[in-house]
Amino acid sequence: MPLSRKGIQLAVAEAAGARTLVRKAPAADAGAGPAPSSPSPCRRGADGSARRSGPALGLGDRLALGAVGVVVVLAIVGPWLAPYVATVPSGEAFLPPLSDGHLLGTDAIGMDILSRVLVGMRSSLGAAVVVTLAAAAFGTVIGVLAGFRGGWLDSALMRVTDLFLAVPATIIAMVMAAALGQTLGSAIIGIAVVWWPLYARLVRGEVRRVVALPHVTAAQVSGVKGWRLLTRHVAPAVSPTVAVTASIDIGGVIMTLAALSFLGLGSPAPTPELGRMAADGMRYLLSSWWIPVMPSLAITVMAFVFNYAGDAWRTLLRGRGV
Amino acid sequence: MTTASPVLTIDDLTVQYRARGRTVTAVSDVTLTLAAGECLGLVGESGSGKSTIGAVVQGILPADGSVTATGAVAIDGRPLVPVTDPAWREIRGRAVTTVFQDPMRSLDPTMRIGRMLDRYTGSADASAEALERVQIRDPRLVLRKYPHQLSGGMRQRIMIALALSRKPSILVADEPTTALDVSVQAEVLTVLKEAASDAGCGVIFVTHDLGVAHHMCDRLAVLQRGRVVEQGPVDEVIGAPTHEYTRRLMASRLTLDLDRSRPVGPVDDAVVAAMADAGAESTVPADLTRRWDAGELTWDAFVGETAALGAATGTPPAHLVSHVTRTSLSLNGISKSYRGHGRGKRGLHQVLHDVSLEVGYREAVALVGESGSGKSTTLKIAAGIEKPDAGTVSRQGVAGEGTQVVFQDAGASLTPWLTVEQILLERIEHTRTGAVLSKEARLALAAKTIGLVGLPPEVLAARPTQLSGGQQQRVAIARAVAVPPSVLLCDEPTSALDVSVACSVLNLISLLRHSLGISVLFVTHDLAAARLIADRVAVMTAGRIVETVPGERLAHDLTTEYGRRLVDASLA
Amino acid sequence: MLSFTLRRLASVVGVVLFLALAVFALGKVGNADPVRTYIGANASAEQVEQARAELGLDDPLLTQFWNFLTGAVQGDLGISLSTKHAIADDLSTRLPATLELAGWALGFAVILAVVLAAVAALGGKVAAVLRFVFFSAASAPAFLVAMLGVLVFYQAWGLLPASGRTSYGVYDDSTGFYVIDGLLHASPLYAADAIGHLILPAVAAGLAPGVALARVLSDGLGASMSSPFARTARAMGESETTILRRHGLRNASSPALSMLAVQAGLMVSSLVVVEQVFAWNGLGTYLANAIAAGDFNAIAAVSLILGVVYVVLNALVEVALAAVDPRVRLG
Repeated sequence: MPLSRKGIQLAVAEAAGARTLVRKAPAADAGAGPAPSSPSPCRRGADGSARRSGPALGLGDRLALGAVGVVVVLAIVGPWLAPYVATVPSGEAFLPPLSDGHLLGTDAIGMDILSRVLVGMRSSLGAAVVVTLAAAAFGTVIGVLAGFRGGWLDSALMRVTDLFLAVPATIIAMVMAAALGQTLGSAIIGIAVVWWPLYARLVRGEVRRVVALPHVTAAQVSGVKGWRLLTRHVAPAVSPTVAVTASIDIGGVIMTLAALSFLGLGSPAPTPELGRMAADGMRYLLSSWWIPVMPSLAITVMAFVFNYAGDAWRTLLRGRGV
Repeated sequence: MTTASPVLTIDDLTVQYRARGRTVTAVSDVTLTLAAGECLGLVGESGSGKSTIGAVVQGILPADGSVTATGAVAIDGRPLVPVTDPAWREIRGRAVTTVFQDPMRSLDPTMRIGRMLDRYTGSADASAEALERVQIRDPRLVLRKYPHQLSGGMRQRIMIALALSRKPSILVADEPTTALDVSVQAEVLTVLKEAASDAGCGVIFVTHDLGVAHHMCDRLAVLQRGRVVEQGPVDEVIGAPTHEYTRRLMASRLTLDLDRSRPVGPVDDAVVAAMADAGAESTVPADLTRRWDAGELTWDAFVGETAALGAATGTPPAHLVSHVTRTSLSLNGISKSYRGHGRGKRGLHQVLHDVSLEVGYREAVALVGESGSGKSTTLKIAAGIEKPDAGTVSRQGVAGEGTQVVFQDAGASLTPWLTVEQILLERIEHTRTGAVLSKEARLALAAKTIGLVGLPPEVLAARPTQLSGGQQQRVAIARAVAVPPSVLLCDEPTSALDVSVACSVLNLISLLRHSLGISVLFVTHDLAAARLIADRVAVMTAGRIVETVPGERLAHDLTTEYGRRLVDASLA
Repeated sequence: MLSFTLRRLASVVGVVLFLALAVFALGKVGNADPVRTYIGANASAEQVEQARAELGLDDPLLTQFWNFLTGAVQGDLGISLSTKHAIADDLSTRLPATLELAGWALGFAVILAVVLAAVAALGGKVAAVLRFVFFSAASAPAFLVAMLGVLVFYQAWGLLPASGRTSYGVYDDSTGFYVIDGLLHASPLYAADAIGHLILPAVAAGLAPGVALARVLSDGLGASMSSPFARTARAMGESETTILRRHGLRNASSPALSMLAVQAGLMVSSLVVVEQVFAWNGLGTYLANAIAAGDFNAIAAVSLILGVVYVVLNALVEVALAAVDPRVRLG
């Protein structure tokens, strides 16, 4: 008989008489997990459905998710929207924002700031995505190997990871970028090299947590092992955490890249790079504030959008108890 | 029993929770009184509203509009509006204090016991006295400890001392011993009863356990879906229950004198019928058994024959395999240590010492012990989840299909994002005998197994989180027996369930055992459940099996001191 | 506790060795030519030979690393390729400058975190607005905060200075920490002036860490305020503020302390940037100049120092954690 999801629940509900569940209190504190929110003895709804629905997305969160879309689209199509060529002067120098034809004004040699910011956003976001994906992918592989295989491999990999984590990341990134020469590429490599251990730690911890869960033991007892155990019973519980962390990290990587670029560790002028633009514009801060401030604001907006949306996503997942 | 002026009166109390636009009535029209020095038991299954009444009396429900209440409450003759009255702040912690269920987390882990207690007793001497009143032998030492350095029973005594240090008129005890071992439970209950009666305060005792309520309380109120269905002196309610629900609760109690030949609790006819139906099919053709016994068949040939037979009749061949084996499981001289804190030998903590155990063909053996006795580790080793440091395990049956496990927390043991059907199919595919079946045969087997455990076919499409606790445990059992193992290992499968649900799960295991012809190793802390399921009961403590007796006459036959203690605790 | 501390100490040594090796190796694989940086592009072959010998570049790599290591332990960090001074001398005045700034920035971060977390604990509409503020502040690069500070507090209102460490000279017996100098010489004016110079840079470098710390602190407070032991305290009749004080803060302090260490590490890059903006003559400016000049000797030395400070700080935090949380210490 065809049944809707709701119908199934009703059918199921009728099938077994007294059917609510007393969970025995966990034997020990599970650690950092979210604490039970209220002393209400009625945490589950009448039919147990409360467990499935987490907190709904608030207006702010919806806006943030929308804003991510806008920023990403802007960063992708931005260079085509740019009214001028970003690397050559296109008008009078030091034009303030809202000048005719130059929405964000022009810089010290008359290049259009809006055009440069749009182009810079693309390279900044692109670089951040590359760094995050590379770090997340490599870190995940290491973390899965360590957490899933365990034993000596785990200890060895985690020793190395801990070494990387114990030294200040930005320093290593700076030295790497300095050693490899002044290009965006070396900044990317520098940051990725110091960023992966975070994922390795995170993923290993998550994998070990999930592997210890009863449903994985039960699957092993059922005869499931290896790749299938990992993909079918472990990974679905780990991947949201990694995805959320990566989305939040994009914001952080954008800022770190900007800091390196500000220090001159990105591509040299006139390539439009937001951090570099801010650094070069610093000397005009008191006379023409928009030259350094506009690119800095662009960085802030991008980082904000990813930080905020990532956090909203994390809250959502935590509410669902994944 | 004094019947002085009541310390608590509750009139027509109704409590509703509001969440996401829906209103759930947790308590309706409840009227209760509690006299000074009296112990009133609130008994019911989960969702009966017993804890909500406790929370109202404590004044700890949120006054932010998410909970609404009508009716009247008076404490020490002082009338209070339930939930919203600002005066609850003065009542809380003074006129009313509480002992909670979870002693592991209810004490601040960063604070020494002394610092916690001194705040209410005023001095270290007074704190030491308070601890002596709850029969803690070395109070000065305990005062210097942190909570995590103490056992659950100790922590719960400290909770009691803490609660009584405020000299309340009412003590709310919310399932105070549910998380404790049976023998510890009895001690803590005695401590609670004596200390409360010395202090002369009334006790609201919230519990799901009629036996515990009987031991503790002067009067009982039985709750079902937020209503008091029966109320009266404890002996009358227990001795001659008038309401049908109370009778059902009584019938679901596991005691040491139950008739083992019949299902326990309120019997579910549909389940029995399904079981009988399933049992009829799983007999091995006589000639196959004969050829196996005569040694005419190799193992592979035997599996092949049964697989062919299974494909022809739609019967899973492994149903048949277990019939030809003789000893299903044997553990020989198993030892196991875990690495705790500290290095080298000092850090090793031995949990099993030379454990030997045999489970015969179609035999059910129960392993009884308290937490830390090593019973769960034994089960894990039997299941191959853990490797023993020394000793051997041998399992009969098709390779990889010898043992299956039913875990305590069924909900957690089912992968939450898979449907029930996927879960069952996965198990079937990963067995040697199930793997030879066609896709359709596997689907049919999954559907058939779900019927076997008494669930409707609609459950196949559901995910575990959409099911109740009892249903989840049935699904877990279905996974274990979809391709029947030679031994079904059960790890406290009913201890997280309400009593009536627990009974039906016990019945199910019993019936499946007989109809599928499988052996059972049943690990539990509950002597009565062990006796009900098992032909033989092995008692385990401190990593050793101290004695093994026939299930039937368990209460008489147990002779070791530890065994007697368990029996006494169960009888109390 | 002692063995715990000793074990941490041992791992500090290991990590510092790794850091030194990494920095040294990066200097070798980099594509900058140290000799050319040192003597300029037009030097003769003879001069190059001489410079190579002077810089010890003719030694085998292992010897070079050994010299680098033993030198560093004795306080000899080599010669700057760009300033041609001993790096240790160059840094002797700059290290206190950076430490002073970092100390004030961390202090500001901690105060900000406690205030924000306390406000967030009030809940309601304030918390929602705060969340927005949290993320805005955490997303602004330090140089933007610095710029806005200069535009508002220096240019528009004329309240605070926008560059340097002091409006006066430097005492002959300076400790390197100007606020302390002022106090030592009983000159409140000097100290106040130094503090005035510190405010904008410290806020710029401390804002993001402070906000991040506030989030951890308020999450931790939320978790401990809804924990079973808080419920016990509530049932014992304690007020919310008492529970916060007696139980909440203590239990929330461990994650906050760990976060403090992480943020201190992240602050390194903001410090470098902020020093640039405010012409603060510290390690950051030195590092930025070294990067611009391709002076890898200086880069390595500064990285090593910052790294050591960070690693030691981390170890201190872990020991402090063990002191706060008996579960860590007693196992």
